[in-house]
Amino acid sequence: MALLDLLLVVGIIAGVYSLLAIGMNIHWGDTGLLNFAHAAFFAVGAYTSAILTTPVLETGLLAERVVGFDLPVVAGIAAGTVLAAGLGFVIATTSVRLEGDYLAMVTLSSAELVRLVIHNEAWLTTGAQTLKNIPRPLESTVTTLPVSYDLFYFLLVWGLVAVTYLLFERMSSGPFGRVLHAIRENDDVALALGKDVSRFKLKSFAIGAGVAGLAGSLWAHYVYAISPVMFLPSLTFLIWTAVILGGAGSYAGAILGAVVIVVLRQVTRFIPGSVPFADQLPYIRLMFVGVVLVVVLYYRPEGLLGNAQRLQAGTSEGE
Amino acid sequence: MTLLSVDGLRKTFGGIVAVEDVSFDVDRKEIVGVIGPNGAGKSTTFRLLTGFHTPDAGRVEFAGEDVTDLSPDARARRGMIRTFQIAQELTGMPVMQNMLLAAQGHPGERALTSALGVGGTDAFEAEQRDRAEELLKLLELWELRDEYAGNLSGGQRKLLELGRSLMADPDLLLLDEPMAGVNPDLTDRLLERILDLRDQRDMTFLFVEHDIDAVMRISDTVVGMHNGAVLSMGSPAEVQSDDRMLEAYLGGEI
Ligand SMILES: Nc1ncnc2c1ncn2[C@@H]1O[C@H](COP(=O)(O)OP(=O)(O)OP(=O)(O)O)[C@@H](O)[C@H]1O
Ligand SMILES: [Mg+2]
Repeated sequence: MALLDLLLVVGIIAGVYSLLAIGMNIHWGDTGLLNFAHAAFFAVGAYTSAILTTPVLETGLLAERVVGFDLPVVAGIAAGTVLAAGLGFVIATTSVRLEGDYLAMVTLSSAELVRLVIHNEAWLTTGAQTLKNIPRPLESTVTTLPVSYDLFYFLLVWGLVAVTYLLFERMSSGPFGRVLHAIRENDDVALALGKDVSRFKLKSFAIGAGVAGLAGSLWAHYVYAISPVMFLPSLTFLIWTAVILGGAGSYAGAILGAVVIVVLRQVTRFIPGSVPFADQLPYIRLMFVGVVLVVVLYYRPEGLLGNAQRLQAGTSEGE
Repeated sequence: MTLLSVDGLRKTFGGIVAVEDVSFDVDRKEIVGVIGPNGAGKSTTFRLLTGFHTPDAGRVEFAGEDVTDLSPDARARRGMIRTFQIAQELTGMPVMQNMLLAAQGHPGERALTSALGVGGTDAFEAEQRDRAEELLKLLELWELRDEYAGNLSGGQRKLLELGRSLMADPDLLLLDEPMAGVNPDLTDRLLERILDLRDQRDMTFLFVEHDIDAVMRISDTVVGMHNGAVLSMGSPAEVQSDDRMLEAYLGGEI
């Protein structure tokens, strides 16, 4: 039973990471956009949802926060998604028209800015403290049912992963995705054929950021309590790893990559504290993920479920 | 009736004057061939016309509208489609996808209609597939429709580029050396096709070509360029016998 509980928790985390990876895949896999702000979109989703669904704390030592709306969870999740998408749109606006990889730099600095705002604007976010008592959706209803809350949440998260996967898969294989792929391959061709490249990039960026926001909201409502340390740049890099590992451009790959990363990290949690270098474990775990990535890419440069033929054709010079 | 009007275009790169005071008009349904030695400024002129370069001076008018400040994609949507001298295939996309990308006004290019498959997306897509099939057969690329464009030969890439631009069904097609690397038999059929499109769909063509034979055969007007400037302009016979053009080609025969 304890093992099942653990599996459910790992499954929920894997589902949340899968959503993050799906969002990253429309950016990088479909459109070729470099996004280093994924943790920030995740944070915006989490904090928006948390602030909207909790009441203002009236008393207490740490009751610095002066806003809170006590809205239904659904409203929080919707707002978290939309706000993250909006932030993605704004960030992308600054750089989609510029040549080169300005977007990479802008996202990197925006992510840091978002984290600083969360850290410093305590009236809104409780700052470096933990924002607590985030309500769980339908908790009182579920407790009357013969299923555990974790099982319910597991099904909720993976139901959303499934719906998101289907929508993104269709989008990617349809005419909209075709334009994104063209932009990934060669901006000039898309322009020459009349595609408003900037607009497509903005849409792609906003949509992917929105999914990351959705993941953030789901995360916040599951863990009760959030704090800025949950949204470090290392999360962004883990999601990058998941997408590359699974195979950039493949949504099934993004999900598989996310699951593999989460499982790897959870398994390495059970290394006992008595082993040598145990105090270095966090770094060793990160290294472990890196080693797995290198090994997979050595044998499958296209990633686990990536398209080898496309990769090969894409790098051929012809003639 | 004038479709494209070019007035005093100029473009420099550092010290190099690539295009110098280029002016000419193209009438609707006219086929205009642009010739000139390497480095004459032909491709640069194309880039200025299609918005891929901003001119230092001059004006481009298309269908009565000043398009000088419009972006390349905005010009393309108005019916000006170009090809590239060095074929720019979307190497990581199959041949058929390259073709379908060029369809204009596709309802499925909005994210939501694409995801939900609504708004007439499927019907439009099916229609475009039929058009693509017909063009790919003409270009002898039909068997390769599911092949990644990156696996095509150099000549096949040029053909795909031509097919893709025809998929866009433009009013004005700007072709930068469309026949380079294409076998003579197929070149003949493509020239026929260009004439058909002009007659049946009122398409207008501006094309750069080193195959002088091809230029002379189908052009109504020939523009001869040298050192960034228009040296000679007129009927194929006139330009062919223009001494200045002969000189530009190092005294050789055109
Ligand atoms: N982006 C650029 N930067 C610097 N110089 C350029 C650039 N593009 C073109 N040029 C120069 O402008 C001149 C005209 O080049 P262009 O490509 O227009 O010639 P062309 O007539 O198309 O020649 P070809 O028949 O060889 O294709 C050349 O001297 C070329 O070196
Ligand atoms: Mg050229």
